[in-house]
Amino acid sequence: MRNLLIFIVKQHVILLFLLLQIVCISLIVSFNEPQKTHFISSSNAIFARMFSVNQAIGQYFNLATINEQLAEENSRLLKNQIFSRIDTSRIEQTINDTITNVHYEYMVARVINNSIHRTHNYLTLNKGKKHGILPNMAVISSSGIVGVVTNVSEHFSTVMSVLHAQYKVSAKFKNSNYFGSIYWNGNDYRIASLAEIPFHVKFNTGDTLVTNEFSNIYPPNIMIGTIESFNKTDFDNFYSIKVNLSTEFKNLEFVYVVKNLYKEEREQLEALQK
Amino acid sequence: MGNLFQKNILRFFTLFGLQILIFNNIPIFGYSLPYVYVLFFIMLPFDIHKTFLLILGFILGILIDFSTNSPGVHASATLAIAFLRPYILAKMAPRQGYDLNSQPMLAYYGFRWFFQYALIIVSIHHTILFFNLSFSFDESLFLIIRAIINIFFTMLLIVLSQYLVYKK
Repeated sequence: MRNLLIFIVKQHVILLFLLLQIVCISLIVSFNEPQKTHFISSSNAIFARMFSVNQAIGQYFNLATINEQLAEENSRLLKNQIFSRIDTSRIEQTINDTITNVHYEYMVARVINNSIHRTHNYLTLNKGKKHGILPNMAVISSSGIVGVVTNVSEHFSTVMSVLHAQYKVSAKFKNSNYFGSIYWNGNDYRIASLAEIPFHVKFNTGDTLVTNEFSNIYPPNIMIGTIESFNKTDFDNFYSIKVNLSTEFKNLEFVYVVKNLYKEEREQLEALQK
Repeated sequence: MGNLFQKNILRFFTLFGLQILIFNNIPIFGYSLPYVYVLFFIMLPFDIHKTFLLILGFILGILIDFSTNSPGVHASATLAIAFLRPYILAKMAPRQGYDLNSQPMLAYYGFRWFFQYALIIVSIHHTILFFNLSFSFDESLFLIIRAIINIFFTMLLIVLSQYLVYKK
């Protein structure tokens, strides 16, 4: 303490100079608009540079994985090149057949009851167990998704519509493959919400959302809707997005019930993980 | 000594008044203003106490700042010259040292000495001032040219003052 005091007394000119200079600089930065913006933007520039260096280093360490992926992709593409093929015209047909087994079957059904104004909306279809409909089958229309079969009787079945407050369906951007989940918040039957899209994802209003196969219910790439509007919220890390549903629930008449022929196989396989 | 003190006080207010009333309002070539108030620091007595010098530097700078509505910009530059002045004077001392009855004026130490001394002080002041005014190195060349033009006019006025006003 005594040494500190001696130091202060001895060096008081420099210390006073530094102190007053700090006062001046803080005055400059806080009261002069252009200087303030320069100060903030240059410190931002320094940080941005640090981050980009950091990212560049990260990319370098990822090179091994990226190389591996590229090599894999190359070999796959090479295999498809015409020069790596032998002409076996006779058996080509059968090969093609095994490649494209039927994955999804579609049964047409008519909507005989429908609601859109409640918070839990259901539809009733004129097909049932007798026609091969089972619970958890997807229901789609020619313009987009409709819902999922919940209960089945001999001749009828009920469908939990997308317009059901507890219904969630996985969706992805058609152009970028980023996925989130669609849910209905109970107000407008044409508008749903898309959640879990983080801030770094780039998209525009009007971008198309389609189904993916995560749910093991819907076939992939079935239209869900388009982005109506989006905004950033302060309290979490995800966009809040409004989606214009492509299905017109108000005048649904004919729908398709989708049967996934490989559903059990996938469920059994995935059950092994649990 | 009392006489010298009064003279400096008078000079403080005269230069401050001249600066804010006249020189701040006559831009040369549209944007350079001669900052003649620096003359006050140049002409302070040799043996002024360093702490007192710093405080004077801060006060005059901040007064100019408040009159030009740019808090801290001038004060930072005047502080720097107030801090560096004793070192500059020590470096430039003639062989036999300074005569304490004299003042740092052209009339006592000649044109060559005074010009060098004033140029160093004015250059330091203007460099810091112009940096503070833009607070970036984005347009360094433009800034340097502006500062050099400004240094030229300030020096012109300071040297003229030595011939016209501050005679022995």
